[in-house]
Amino acid sequence: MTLANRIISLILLVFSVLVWMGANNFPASNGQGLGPDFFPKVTAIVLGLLSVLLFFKKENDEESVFSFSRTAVPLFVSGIVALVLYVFVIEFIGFTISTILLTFSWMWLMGIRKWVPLIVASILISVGIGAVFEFLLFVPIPHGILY
Amino acid sequence: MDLLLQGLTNVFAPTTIILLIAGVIVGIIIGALPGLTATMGVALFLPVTFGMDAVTGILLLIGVYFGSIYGGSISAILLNTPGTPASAATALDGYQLTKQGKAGKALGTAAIASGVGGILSVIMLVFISPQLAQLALDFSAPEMFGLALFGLSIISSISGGSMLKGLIAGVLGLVIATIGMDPMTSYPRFTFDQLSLLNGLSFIPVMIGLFAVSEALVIMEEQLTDGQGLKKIMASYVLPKWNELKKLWITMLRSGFIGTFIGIIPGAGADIAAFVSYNEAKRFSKKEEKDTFGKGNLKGVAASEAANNGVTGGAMVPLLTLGIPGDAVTAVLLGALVVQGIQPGPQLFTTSADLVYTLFAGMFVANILMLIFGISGIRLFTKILKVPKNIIAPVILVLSTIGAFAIANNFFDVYTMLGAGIIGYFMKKFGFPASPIVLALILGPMAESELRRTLIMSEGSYSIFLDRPIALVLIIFAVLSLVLPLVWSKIKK
Repeated sequence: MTLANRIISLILLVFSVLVWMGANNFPASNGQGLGPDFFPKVTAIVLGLLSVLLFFKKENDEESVFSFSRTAVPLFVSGIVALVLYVFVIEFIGFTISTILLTFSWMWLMGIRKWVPLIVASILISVGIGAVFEFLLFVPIPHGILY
Repeated sequence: MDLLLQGLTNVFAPTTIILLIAGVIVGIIIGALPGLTATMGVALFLPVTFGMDAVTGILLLIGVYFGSIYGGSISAILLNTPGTPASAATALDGYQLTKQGKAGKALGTAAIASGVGGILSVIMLVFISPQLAQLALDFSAPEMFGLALFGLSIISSISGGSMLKGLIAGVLGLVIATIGMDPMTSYPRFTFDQLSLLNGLSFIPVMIGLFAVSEALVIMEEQLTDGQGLKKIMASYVLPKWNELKKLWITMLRSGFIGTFIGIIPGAGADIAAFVSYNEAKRFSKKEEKDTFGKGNLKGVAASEAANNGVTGGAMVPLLTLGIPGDAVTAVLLGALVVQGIQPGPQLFTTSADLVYTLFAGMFVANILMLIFGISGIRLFTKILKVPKNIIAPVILVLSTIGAFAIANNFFDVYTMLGAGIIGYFMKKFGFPASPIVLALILGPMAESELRRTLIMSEGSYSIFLDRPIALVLIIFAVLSLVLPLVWSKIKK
């Protein structure tokens, strides 16, 4: 954990410096009270100080925080990729089809390997949730070109 | 009182009561599923309320909130895995009772204690909040700054785990909160010429990402790790007897009070309340009884459940009277209120008293519903624990996506949700709490604009805080809540 903490602290430190530099371009106070630059600068400084503290913080457990085995890593990464694709694809092909694909792939990745339940469940989840929101709750869902 | 009765009739309007019932049931189900927290439940059901009128929508969410805090006890008792962090203390004695074949007694006690704690806290809410709102009507910029600062400091310092990481999360939230137009001069900050960023990152998508999407990723990780089937549930459904309950009243009432007061303090949530009142119940018990705690004492279950449901009413006090959310769930509720065009705060009690009292009456009814379902539905709710995780996870993702999209029908919010979800997952893994970020997104802009307003009032002089006793006390509290935990840990060593 200590190593992870150090990496995170460096990222945060760089981030806070960038924020401070960005805020430096904001107009300062016009004499009375504080300007738009004050709050971002203060928070950036505090964040920077805290990240330095984090760098020197020792944590006892050195074991990995991720619990899965090596073989599961590709599955997990595919899950994240599927999610990212899902979010970006909805806009174009619409909610229903993309949701079927997402639920199908996630259930497959998480260990359901029988085709019939996979297909039936993904269609049910997609059409069911879509219908409930659209027709029962009147909450708009994105349709894209394929509904 | 008239207002309260009027509110009660509003609650019993057909759609409202049906949705309240649905909310409580859905809440119990969400709470019972390990990993799905109250915050997540309310965040996921927020978009459901967009098409409803304000009161009905908020009451649905309140039903989900109350139900899920109770629902967490079901898996805590039956599986020794608390459905929500709030029920961690319940598992101590609850699971022991299950092992002794007394699951029904534990579940029944949990339902009754939850109901008693919840009802007590709503009664206190009804009495305390109008007074507090009256007091808060005189608050202006300096006091509001003090409040926001106090909320921020306490939230970061007691958010559980490492205080440093809590503070980092909080300050990071403050930085993110400065994205968008400056609250005083409308100067665009960190918008990179993007129109979508002018109003800042909308906090509901951030919230859904941090609390729901990240949890779906955690569920997937866990499923890939063990992949084993579901734990076998051993349960008997014999409910507690009247003379067993008689011994628990005092514990329930005391715990309900403790829960309510802890709920009122911003930052302290249901999990803390449950452990505090568990320890109090132990301290108040007779010598020979003390040893039975942790080995299946019904008082342990009653104390933690009455306290964590007591928090629900308490947490509504700062939300409704001051417009300050005390924890992550009330932060989502604040978002829901704002979406419906209701700005909570002291004025709410004068401008929309009918709405406030309808909410009070609805909370009262929600607790009674929870009690009824809790006792009658035990068998049914235990079946929920058998729903496979590999279906729950994608459903969470789908609901999150609809939710983020439906707020403003725009995809930028969906991308925000995705980003927050992935960051939230890694935050969880590296021990950074998520709630300080969300609260900072709300309290940060408030702290900034109130401070700047104060300094305009005082023509740039900070000494104005010395003439404002309430503001000064709040600022001192804020500093103390940051410094004291450090001092304590030094003394302990």
